[in-house]
Amino acid sequence: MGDSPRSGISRETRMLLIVITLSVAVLIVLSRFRFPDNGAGTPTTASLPLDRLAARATYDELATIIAELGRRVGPQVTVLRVERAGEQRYVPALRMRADLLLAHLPGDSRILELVDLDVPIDIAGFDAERELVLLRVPPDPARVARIDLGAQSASRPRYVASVEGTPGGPALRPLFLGRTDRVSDDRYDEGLLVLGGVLVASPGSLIFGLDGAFIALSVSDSGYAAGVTGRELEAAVDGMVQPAPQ
Amino acid sequence: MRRGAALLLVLALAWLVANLDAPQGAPSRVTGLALGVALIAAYLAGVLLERLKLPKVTGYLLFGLVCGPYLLNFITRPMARELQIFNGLAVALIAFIAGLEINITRLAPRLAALTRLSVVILGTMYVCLFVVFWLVWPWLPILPDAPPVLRAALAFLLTAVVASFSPTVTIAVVAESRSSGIFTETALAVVILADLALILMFTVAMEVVRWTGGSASHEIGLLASASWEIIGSLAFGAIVGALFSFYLRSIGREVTLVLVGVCLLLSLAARALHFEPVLAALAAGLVVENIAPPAGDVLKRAVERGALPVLVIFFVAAGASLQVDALATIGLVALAVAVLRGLLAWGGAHLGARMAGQEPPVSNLLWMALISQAGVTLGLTLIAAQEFPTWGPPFQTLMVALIGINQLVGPVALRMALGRAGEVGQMDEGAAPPH
Amino acid sequence: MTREPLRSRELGGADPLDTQLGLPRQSLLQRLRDGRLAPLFQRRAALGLRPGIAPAIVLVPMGMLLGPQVLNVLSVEVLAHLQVGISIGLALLGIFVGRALAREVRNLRVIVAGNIESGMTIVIVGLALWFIITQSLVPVGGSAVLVAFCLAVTAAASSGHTADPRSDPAARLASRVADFDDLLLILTGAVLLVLVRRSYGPVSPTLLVAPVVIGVAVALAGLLLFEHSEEESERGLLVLGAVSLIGGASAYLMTSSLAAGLVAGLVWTLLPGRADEIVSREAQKLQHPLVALLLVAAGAFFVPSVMVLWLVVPYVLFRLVGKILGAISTAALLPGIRAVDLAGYLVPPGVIGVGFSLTFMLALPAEAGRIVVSVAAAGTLISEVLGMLLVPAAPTSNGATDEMANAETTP
Repeated sequence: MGDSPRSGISRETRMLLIVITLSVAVLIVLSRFRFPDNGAGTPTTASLPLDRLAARATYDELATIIAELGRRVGPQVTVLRVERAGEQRYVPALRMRADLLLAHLPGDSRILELVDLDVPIDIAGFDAERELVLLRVPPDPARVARIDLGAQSASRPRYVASVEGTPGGPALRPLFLGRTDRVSDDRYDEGLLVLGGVLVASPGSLIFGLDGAFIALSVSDSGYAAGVTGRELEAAVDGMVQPAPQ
Repeated sequence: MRRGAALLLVLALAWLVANLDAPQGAPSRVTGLALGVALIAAYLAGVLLERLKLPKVTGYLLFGLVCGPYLLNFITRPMARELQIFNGLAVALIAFIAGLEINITRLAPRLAALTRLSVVILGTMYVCLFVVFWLVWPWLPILPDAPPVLRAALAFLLTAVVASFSPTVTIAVVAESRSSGIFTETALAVVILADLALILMFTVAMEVVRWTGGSASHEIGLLASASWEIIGSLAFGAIVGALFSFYLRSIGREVTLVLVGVCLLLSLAARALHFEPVLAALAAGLVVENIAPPAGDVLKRAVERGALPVLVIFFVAAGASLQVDALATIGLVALAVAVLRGLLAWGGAHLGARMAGQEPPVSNLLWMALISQAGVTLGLTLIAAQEFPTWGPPFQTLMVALIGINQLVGPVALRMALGRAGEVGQMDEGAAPPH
Repeated sequence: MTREPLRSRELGGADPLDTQLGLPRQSLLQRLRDGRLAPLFQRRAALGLRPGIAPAIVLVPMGMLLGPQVLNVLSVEVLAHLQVGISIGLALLGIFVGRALAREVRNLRVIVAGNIESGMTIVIVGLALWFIITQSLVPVGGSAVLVAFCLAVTAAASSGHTADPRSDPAARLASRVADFDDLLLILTGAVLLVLVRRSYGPVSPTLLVAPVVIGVAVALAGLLLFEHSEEESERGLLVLGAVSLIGGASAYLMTSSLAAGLVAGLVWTLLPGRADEIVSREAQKLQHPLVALLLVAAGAFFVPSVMVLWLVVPYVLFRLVGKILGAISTAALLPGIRAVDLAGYLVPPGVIGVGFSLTFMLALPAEAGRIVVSVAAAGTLISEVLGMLLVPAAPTSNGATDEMANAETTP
């Protein structure tokens, strides 16, 4: 294998070294144009190929980002008007399937209406332990949420958006997460994500990344905002739709 | 008979296990079961279809489709997602194998002709598709009342995505059928060159759409972005390939393990660094084959022999991920676009072959290698759909339906072409007569 | 059945791809002619044991480095996806154990000795850890007795090293004992898994026989498929499919992949045909990556904590005690090897113990599972290092019986 004389560098070795040197040089040159502001704090998101083509503004254009994000994720969210202990509030529900909405509601809540959908309330499932309710709605495949499994637990400083319910529909609010950490929880196999520490997102709100991928459903856990990841919600939905045989 | 009995036994076991106890929690627990059943059952389905004179690949795809979330739901949606995750590794391995197949010394004399061929094919498809889309735009379900300038831009974007091929599926079919020869080489070269063109044209098209729609402009230049994606991917892959070659020469132990690690690196690191994993893996294989040829040849034969499970899972996952509901929604339009695309591929291939001086079987069969569409096209579609929520969803639905059709038909067509070209099984010495 | 040289179950010899590529046979370590490590390896070489570093010493720390605690290259999400590979790897190890047992089924004395030794280790480690956990009130996130005995099962494993047939018979005998002590471990582990699940919710009683059903069904399917496949690539796919099915079905039901693999290996070897040879040949291609995966994953799951530190020291110590007492108890069955030497050979734990810990991790509550894997990973690493120091320095031919050491079933 190879033609390696005892003395000197073989032709193969020379060529391999040339390839490595040239390739590294090319990458260095290209990176200067590709990542012009190559500071230590620049957050990057690992996502689909060519997603960097999507317009990305800097820190100062966060409002524009949030507005555009709202246009993207808005169709994926339906707001519910609910009542609990005599008080009404608005809760966002995420379209997990073409015909299924998922929301975080305590068991003693009552759903009064779907704010932007004129359909009867059809509860397809309820998980009392996890306080998740599943609603059946007319199917619309184009509105199903995109759940990016790869970006969820990276513990790095970043901006995300919290989607909350209002009488007019879903409203987005930027959040800064210093870090996300996993904690164990008996209700979920992979535990919960602690979102940055103290309560920054209201329970039931939906956390999206700035690339439009759904990250987590905010639940309260001992005074901290904790998130249930998309993977766990998918599993929960499967369980609610197909309950375990007795 | 024996195979049928074994298949029944496997399916019975799977049914028994699934009904004995429902899985709790993590979908990864169900993936192993799906993997085991898919490997055996899908392969046997392929063998069965081979007896009916159809390619095995069809069996794998149909198994995935039939057992997938939209029909029998044996491979449930979480399982299909988990299988898709293995696709990253599979794609890297498949592209690495393709790189090992490309011998620059052998290919160099034909490079000019192949480039001419590719340019003519793509040029024909681009021009004709753009004109047709522009003319029929009001009847397409993607923003039919768009103003003229935006309509042209959207037609251009749609053209760029529709006129794309799938190097991954092409390489996978070639590897699965152990094909080798002039036609195989030509088909691979054309789809890979087309993949490079796709990245560039999509970049340009998206920028044009943004400009017409008045969106915020990039901070990162178009050329910089495309260069990073194309040239950077090749450079990254070359580095990985060179380091792997060094490893083979100087240490040379646990090669299987290191090869899996290399494919993982090409898949995961490439994505994280915004490279194109297919191009990176291709470049890695190219370096190993062309700079360390003895190792490259032996590695190639060994990897190709061991790649069958990866290929089966790749096609099963592809079949399971076909969105049948999209087909139901917009099937007729997608079918019309698929037929048009096929006709233009046929015309472009004939024209290109004539202008590039290519003889049969290339001239009359190449179009059959240009039907497949898969991962990269889907990924680009998603990017466009997410950035433009007003018309993105119907655009995505149409493309998903089109990709579904081409994903079912493409591998079959390619496999038939390879068979007619007499190149099936030519990778091995003393191979069986081609199918 | 054909004769095969003794081989390490864990790595099964060189990677087949290395052989095909005709790559350099000398490892980096063999090139180290100087340094403090050389005498150690020379000593091992004199005993006929191939010089080399146990994979756990390299791969477990590598997993710790790559895991979520340090570099996070193997993040929690990636590890979740790797669970599939882990269960398949365990199934493969179980198949090899089953093959080895079936081939040596007439060598009852060694099999019994191995299982007495592992049984004693389980009891000693289990009781000791249970006592420590309950007395010190260490929060282990679950039932103290279950956690203790899960750790005990992981502690009782020993690795069999490849032995040169020309070497000392005592060393080869010790390797066989280490090979065969896995039977009781696997059975105990399977039962323990069911008990763990029962403690947290109702469980179908059929779960106890699930590994047998899975193993037999897949073995029968394999018998129908393997021998009649003509191409090497087809055989490879079918074998991988069978192993995946064993691992996947076991993981689905959260039972022991090792036990199901053991049953399949027994069936393939005991029934007429070439299925066992075919499986062995094809599975060798997967062996190295899957064993590496198990070790790296165990390292990646390692979470340092006070509880782990508190438990790992008694884990290692009582494991050593168990091996010594086990060796003393079984020495009467094994003429030709001194008890203390046998104990020394049994110190290196290998990969099966780590494999067990990964299985238990899935069944136990999150915190308890993490502690079990962390203690097992750290304990494995420390025990492997101890093994390098405690393996006997001189041959011990005390009326060695070559027949016992070389006993192989004949067709």
